Amino acid sequence: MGALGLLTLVLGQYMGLFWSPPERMMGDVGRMLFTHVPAAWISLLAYTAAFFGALTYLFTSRRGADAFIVGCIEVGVLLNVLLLIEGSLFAKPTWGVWWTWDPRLTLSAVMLLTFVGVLTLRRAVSDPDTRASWTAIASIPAYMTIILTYYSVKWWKSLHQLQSSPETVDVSMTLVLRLNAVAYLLLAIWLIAERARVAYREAKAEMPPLPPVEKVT
Amino acid sequence: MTSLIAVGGSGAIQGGWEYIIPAFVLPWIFFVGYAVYVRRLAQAFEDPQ
Repeated sequence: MGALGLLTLVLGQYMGLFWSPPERMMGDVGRMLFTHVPAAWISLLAYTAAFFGALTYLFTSRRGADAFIVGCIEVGVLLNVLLLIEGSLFAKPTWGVWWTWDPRLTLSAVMLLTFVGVLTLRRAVSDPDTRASWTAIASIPAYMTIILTYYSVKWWKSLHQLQSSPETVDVSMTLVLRLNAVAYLLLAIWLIAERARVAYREAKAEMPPLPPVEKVT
Repeated sequence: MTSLIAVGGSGAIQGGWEYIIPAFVLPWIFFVGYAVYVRRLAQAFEDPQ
């Protein structure tokens, strides 16, 4: 899946750079949307998956769910950092500044710090069961930042544009955008699965050894 | 104070490749870098079986 994701990314980036036409107002700078927007979408998706993983853990106490949360949050944070850096790169030529305390930008940074906080909390707890419970419990209120970030452009006055719809974007751009989003999604699924596998092994290694079986005579 | 409307709506922004190229390179650094990190973690917790 990782190789397929990378191949899709090569194709998506090639089309974004050379096939798609320049944006009418922003010119070539508009091409940056092909990397910035998928980072936002898949980051929010990874955090949403972590939220459902947290609910699953709280109801079932399965170690697999805890490992899944770790993978989702780490990949979400990775894409959240990418989103903020790319947003900053996009803001400079279009808004004239690298950063502004706009509601969408500020909440995206708060979202990142919140989930970094969940990972930090996780590192601070040594008991595996307590750690898994606290991670799941903390992931649920942390999810509020996703809702706030997503709706911030509708709820408050924001310099950031509203969510676009396929009706307002030319097909030559929606196609490239979706292709890049598929590439990010494939890579995110692959990385979450790999990280979750390692987290599961970590948890297994931490479990106390089973007591020796007594011989029945 | 820096103006947030330094680039108005008067037409296409010229150039900008100094921003576009890093924006297209960064995903590779992030994805490949994280994959390497996960691979190293996996090696550290290699299943003895």
